[in-house]
Amino acid sequence: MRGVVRRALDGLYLVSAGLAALSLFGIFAVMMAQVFLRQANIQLPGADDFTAYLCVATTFFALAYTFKRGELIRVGLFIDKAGPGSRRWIEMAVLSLAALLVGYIVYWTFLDTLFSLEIEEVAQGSVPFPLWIPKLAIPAGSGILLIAILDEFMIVLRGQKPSYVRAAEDRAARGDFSAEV
Amino acid sequence: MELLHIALLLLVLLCLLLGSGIWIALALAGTGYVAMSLVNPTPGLFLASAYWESTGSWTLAALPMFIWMGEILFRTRLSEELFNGLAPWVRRLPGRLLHVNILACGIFGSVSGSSAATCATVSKIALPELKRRGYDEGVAIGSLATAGTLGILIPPSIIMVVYAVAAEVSIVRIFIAGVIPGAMVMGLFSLYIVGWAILNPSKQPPAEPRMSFVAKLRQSAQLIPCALLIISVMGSMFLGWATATEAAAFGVLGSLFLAAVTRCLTWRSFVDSLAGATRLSCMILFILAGAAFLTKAMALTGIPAALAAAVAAAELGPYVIIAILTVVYLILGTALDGISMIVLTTSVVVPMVQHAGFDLVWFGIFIILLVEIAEISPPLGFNLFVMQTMTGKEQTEIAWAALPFFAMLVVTVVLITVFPAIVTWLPDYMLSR
Repeated sequence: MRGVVRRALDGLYLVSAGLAALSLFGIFAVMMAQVFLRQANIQLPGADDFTAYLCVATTFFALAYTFKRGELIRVGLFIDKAGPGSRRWIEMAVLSLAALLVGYIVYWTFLDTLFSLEIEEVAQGSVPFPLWIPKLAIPAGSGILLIAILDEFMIVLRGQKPSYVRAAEDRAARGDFSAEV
Repeated sequence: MELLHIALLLLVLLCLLLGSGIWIALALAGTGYVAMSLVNPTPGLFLASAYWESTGSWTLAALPMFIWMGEILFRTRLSEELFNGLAPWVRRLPGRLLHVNILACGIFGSVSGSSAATCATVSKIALPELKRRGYDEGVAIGSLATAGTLGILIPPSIIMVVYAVAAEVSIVRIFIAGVIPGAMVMGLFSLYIVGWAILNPSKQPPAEPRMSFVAKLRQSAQLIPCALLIISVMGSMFLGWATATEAAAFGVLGSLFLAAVTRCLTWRSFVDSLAGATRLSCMILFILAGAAFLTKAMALTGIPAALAAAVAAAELGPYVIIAILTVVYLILGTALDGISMIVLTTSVVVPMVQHAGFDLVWFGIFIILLVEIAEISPPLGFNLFVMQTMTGKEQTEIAWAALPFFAMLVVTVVLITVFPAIVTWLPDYMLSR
């Protein structure tokens, strides 16, 4: 049973990240289409707005997966120095606080999305996109992040090392610093 | 006095949250929430609009594009070719191949935009090669650790895009502003190597055989397409033919083409580059969203305006303000990464700096130089850590090796403070035409 849940959750993060990657590719595709159509004197209507929406989707749909891989940065200064026993408690405290904050983000951005749907808010640009659709990416992506945070909380609760720590250690051991800025 | 208490409370809270090890983007949002709750009953409404407006921006789309361009080129043979391609040209300079470290980091840094990745990638090739040829290890390590930080100063730079978006200045303008200081830092590094080589002739390896001009060209021929790509991306932006976002998208197209021509483009490397770019963009944009909310909250509390007024009333003079900020940033730099340093400060420092009469583009270059310095300052400079892993040496040894180059960065900060035109002249000239 646990195996099924594990696979389902990992699948969810991966599908969501795939959506984010597609959005990033979409930014590129839209920009290119816009530039080449301009050569033929065709304006791609709403392209600028659409690019911005894809940017939102890239950010929020990739959150859970990036979090799991330990690539959302944090200050590890003190937590890395804590002993294994106290570290477990600190991780759980930090994860609980993170869950609260992300929960708050999900709640309010979802209300905002619903509000946009209710008042039928549309983009100001040349194409009146209904704004609730791109806005939905924020609560949806953050919601999946919330699931991932609770997932990690359970992992730490069971006494295991959190995935984000393990992934970061693996990268450091390989000498891979591509995730650092 | 009330406001001062609130400001101190928020500062302590932010430090606690950051220090606790919670993810930086969430620490910013959490502090923003507390700040906002003090002046408004529904912080959530502001949070939703801040998250939407900060990530849903056409200008910001340049960021994932530049990141992806770097990720594609990162997966080509560029890093291997840089060393061999640049080596023939510096053989006659005192210090010889040590200059390759500086040039390779400068070029690689401009495409990758990440200090740690630049440092690790160039070192992986250059260190064994320099050791084999008998170069002094200390200078090799010091130059690589420090020149690795050039990635953020030489455009296109990810950190510059972050600053431009956070401080609401033009991306193109700050890119152009980075050109002269970037060249200056490289020049100073090379100057130190020349001076060191002349003073220590005993530590120089035996000279290498001469090469004809044609042979040199042949050896660096593979670098030419990449150089053309970078020049055309930057050029189209600087000349005003394309916006930053369009130029970045063209950069992606050009990189894909380059990777395909050099047979480095497989389905796997394509997916890897796209996935890497997605994760890095997500990390940065999520921090930007948290910072946008914090900035909004701070503005509503009135703290930045009060601070700016207080600084103006104290009549400290520009050099004193800059000196204080330098110290603050160096302290911040011991714990925070460059992006967090920049987004954090824009909420409080930018109004103050603007009020004191500084050019915001100049200030961006100033902060970026300080971030570079922070990355090689012990005990927590990230590039020191990278070099530690690459060489297996103690951190103190690496920090000592980097010290002369560190001094060159400090010289640059002093120079741009005394002569701000070093930063502002080129963008003013290019963009006024």
